[in-house]
Amino acid sequence: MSSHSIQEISARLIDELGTILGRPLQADDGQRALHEIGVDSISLVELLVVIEKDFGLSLMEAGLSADDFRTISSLATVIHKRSQ
Amino acid sequence: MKSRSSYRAPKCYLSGIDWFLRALDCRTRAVTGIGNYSQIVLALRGHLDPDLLRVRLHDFIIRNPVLQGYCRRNYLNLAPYWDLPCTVDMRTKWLDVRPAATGSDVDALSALADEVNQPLTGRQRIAFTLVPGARLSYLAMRFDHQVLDAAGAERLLLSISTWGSTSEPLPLGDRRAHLDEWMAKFRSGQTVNRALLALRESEPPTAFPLPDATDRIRSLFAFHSFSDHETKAITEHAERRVGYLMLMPFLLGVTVRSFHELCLKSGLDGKHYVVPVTIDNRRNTNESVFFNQLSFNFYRFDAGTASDQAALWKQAATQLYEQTRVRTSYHLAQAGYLMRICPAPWLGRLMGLPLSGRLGSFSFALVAGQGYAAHDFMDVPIENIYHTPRVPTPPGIGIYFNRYQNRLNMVLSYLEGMLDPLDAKSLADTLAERLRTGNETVS
Repeated sequence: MSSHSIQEISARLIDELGTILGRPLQADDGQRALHEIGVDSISLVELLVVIEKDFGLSLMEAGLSADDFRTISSLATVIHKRSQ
Repeated sequence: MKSRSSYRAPKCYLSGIDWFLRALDCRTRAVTGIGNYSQIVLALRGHLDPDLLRVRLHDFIIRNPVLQGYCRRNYLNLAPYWDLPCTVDMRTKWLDVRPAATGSDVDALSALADEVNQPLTGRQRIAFTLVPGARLSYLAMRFDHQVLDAAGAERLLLSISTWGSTSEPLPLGDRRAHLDEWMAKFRSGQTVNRALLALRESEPPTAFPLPDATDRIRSLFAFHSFSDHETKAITEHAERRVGYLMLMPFLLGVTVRSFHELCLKSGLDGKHYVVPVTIDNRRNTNESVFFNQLSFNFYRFDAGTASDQAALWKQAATQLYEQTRVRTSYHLAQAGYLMRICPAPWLGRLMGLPLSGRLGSFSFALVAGQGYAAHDFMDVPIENIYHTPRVPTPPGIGIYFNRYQNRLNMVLSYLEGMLDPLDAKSLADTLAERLRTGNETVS
């Protein structure tokens, strides 16, 4: 997955999170804080499990700051950096 | 008087989780004399017209006969289903109006909480109690868990609030028999069995003994309602201590520590605690409000580390991740389809076998979704929404959180005789104080 751009990763995460939340998300939801789009403990962890499966990255224990998890864009940036 | 419903739905099969809940209902009824009910209390800032509500309920229940249904077994495929009556018995008293509350709001809420201990009669699945008050009025809806879960009940209340003469009956969702993919369901059953046996290890989890069975054992409650400001602080503590959006593991970790201290004080000296945690499986707001769209995860905490708050938070977050990764709640729901062949009263006894009759130390839930996504009920503004559930037996003790708008509420529910009411209040006070401060060392 390291060849994917941040935008591609972000689009993938938006798609996956839409499935988890049961409603389609828009591209600009990528910039919004996750709690504002209805993400809670369970749905965030479901997203992290998808990231582990799809990108081979375990972010739960990776020592990331809260800001790294704050938006889909910030998560996509972390995934992109760690996939290099 | 019976009113005929014009609505006739296809056969409405029960899921495996519905069957578990029915088994818990049988077990709870056998031990306490009362079924597995719960209740939602709306605190309203104003006067709600009881006559208007009666008319609304009459029309709503006629057109949603699932609320007077009952369980039967299909003689061809043996799957249990919910029989929807063609006629709805309107002699049932749906709304009881009580005299205006004279004490404080807390007194009114405590008195109303006891309503959940009143048995529902016949095929009645919901019942309402209205208490007008000086500052606040209270509307309580108690409901049978066989046909509604907590999040579904909030949505049902919202549907009643917005119900009109031209409204369509609420959809029942996917009620297929699910008599397929047997091998996958067997594998799910194996996964669940192994997980439960791993939880047990050498001895069953620490739990308070159930009271001796009598005719009727009530559930008692201790409440705490956090202000907007306190709720914001709790959310920030959760983020700082456990991680962004990690409210559930934060609450669970603090709860386990406080429960552990109560066990030590009460002379219960076990090796570990097991906590069944309810997971809401609704994916979107269009899914049916009816039946149980939920499943469970099971968390295990060693008593040896239960005084270490930071360790408990870490364990809670790690287990949340692990159980999500291995899909425990999904496998439990799938395995449940197989268990429907077992009569519910028997299943109620069998369910406890892997943990020697103890389904857990206490049960836990956080109802944090937007179940009631409105600010009023029938145009009367809502101050807050409380949940006062009877805890399934076993374990007979539950600690539950719900969130309405920007406010978090906590309720400790326990069977009369299991805890001293002063100990219960102390547990709730300690827990609330730790949540407010977010401090690892508050004792």
